[in-house]
Amino acid sequence: MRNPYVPELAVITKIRLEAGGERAVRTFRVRPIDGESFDFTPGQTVMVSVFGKGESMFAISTSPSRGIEFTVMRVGRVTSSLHQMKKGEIVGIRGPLGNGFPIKEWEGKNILLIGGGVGMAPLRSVLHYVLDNRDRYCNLTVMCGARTSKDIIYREELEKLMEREDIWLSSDTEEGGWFKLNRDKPEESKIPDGTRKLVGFVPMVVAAVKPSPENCIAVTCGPPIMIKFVVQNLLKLGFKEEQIYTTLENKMKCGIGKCGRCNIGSVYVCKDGPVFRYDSIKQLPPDL
Amino acid sequence: MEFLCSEEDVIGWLTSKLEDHAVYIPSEFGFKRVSSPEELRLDFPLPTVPIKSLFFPHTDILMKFGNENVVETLPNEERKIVLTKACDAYSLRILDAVFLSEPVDPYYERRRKNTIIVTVTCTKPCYGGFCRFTDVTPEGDVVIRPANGNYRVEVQNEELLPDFENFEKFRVSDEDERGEETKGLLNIDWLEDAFESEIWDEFSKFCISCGVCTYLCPTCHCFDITDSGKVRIRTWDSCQFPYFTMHTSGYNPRPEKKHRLRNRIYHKFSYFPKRYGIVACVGCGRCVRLCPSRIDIRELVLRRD
Repeated sequence: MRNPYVPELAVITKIRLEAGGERAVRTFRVRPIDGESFDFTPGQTVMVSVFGKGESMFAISTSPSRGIEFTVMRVGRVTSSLHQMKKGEIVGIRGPLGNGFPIKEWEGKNILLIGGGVGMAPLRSVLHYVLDNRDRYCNLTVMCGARTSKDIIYREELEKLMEREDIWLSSDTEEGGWFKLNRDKPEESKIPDGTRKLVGFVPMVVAAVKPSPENCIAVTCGPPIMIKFVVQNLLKLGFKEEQIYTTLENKMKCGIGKCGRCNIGSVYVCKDGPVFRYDSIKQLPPDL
Repeated sequence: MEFLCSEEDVIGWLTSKLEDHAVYIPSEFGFKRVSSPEELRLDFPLPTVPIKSLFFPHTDILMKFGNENVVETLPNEERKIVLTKACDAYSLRILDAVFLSEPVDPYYERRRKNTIIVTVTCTKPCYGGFCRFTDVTPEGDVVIRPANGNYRVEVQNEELLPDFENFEKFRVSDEDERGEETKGLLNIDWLEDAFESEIWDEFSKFCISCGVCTYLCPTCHCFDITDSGKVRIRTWDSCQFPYFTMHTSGYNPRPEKKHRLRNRIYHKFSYFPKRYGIVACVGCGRCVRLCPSRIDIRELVLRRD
């Protein structure tokens, strides 16, 4: 029986800077040293150890066929230490943890991904999975926003994808050459044909682009306030609660439903989540 | 199978076990390892520190970091006998549900297996205790009930029957005749729609967030994991501490005392039963006796006006 608290060693094979500044964001690619398989479902998480500093939980930000990656914003003790690490250095990983997206159930559907800031990380695992199994899914739409255009993570990758998929980028603040949405009535914005870069908050992008709920699954992740208004706008467009998924987060330590801090009602986000369908979130006590 | 024994008989049995078992007995403060037969007694108190400390210690080293490896530091296996009151014995059901459910917690499991629980029932209610309102029933490998100067010794673990075969059989236990108290008297149904009630504000007004109610609760099991140099340790933690749930971003889903106290009550009487099918309170009364602000959980979960 494997000790669920003891991490496996993994070597950092690649580090990519996604956004600079005080709260820099980097994506780390790691490979387990003993080659043990780390088979996961998109949406699952990994507990990453910086030995001597501690452990933090991150969404796995790619699909199983592409290895293990996670995207980290520099905010605390563990994340600051991670940001100082170099390629070839060793971290610990525990997982995969949590439930993941029911991605197989979504086959044959249109997929809409709506991410804000570093919240795009878990959505990228769905994005990669869909791209890897492109014929099993219908239309793919991605809306990815951040405070400024420089804070949009995976920007290069998403811009490249624009040639073949429906990708929308947005910035909360003004950006030269980007189309400004109508702040008061975003749904009345007249987006010129071919324009895919917008200025406005992510929920406004949803209202302006008006994705169709027809045969569609919407997945959103980002700051709680963004999720709240994105969901509101999706419901206005005719999406049913059962068509909307999000991932929740809470402070976590054990990752296996024992240490008691990530609960919302009787649900442990680490073990029963982090993926929740919107109608099931509504069943939880308002304690998030 | 139940036997009628004198105090000497029971002490004699425990003494015979000292050779190949670590025997623990409650003192006023906590559980002490018995080193000589003279320390064995059946009139021990309910200790301040509950039985969980034997299986889930306050501080536990989980692993050590080498230069190129991680070494788990599991506790040594130990054959234990633990003398305890019925409330603490019953609390192990709650802890087992958490730590022995998948994925099994190997640190707890190591300490918990090969343990013989010897429960001695109380003869009178203790101050602050309300076990007669909870679902606690006397259970253990051996349950000892004081009876007119002697003891009725009920051997619930059949493997221990040979130890007692020379004693006088009392009679086969009969649930009806034993006449134990009526159970299920907690008044907790009102929690169903009291999440937004003002009672949480009112009730937590004098709370100083010291966490004693959780540290000394036999069923509270929240913990923290931190690195300290070359070791990773686990320590008891408390949902009453403001930083317990605070995200690194500074956002806190339970920022105020009322949110945290509400979570503690709901966890014990609503969330835990939903998840594991058992109320996570044994009515030992420690939180009632030891709260410096005299917050009394009984006002919430026994009959209220």
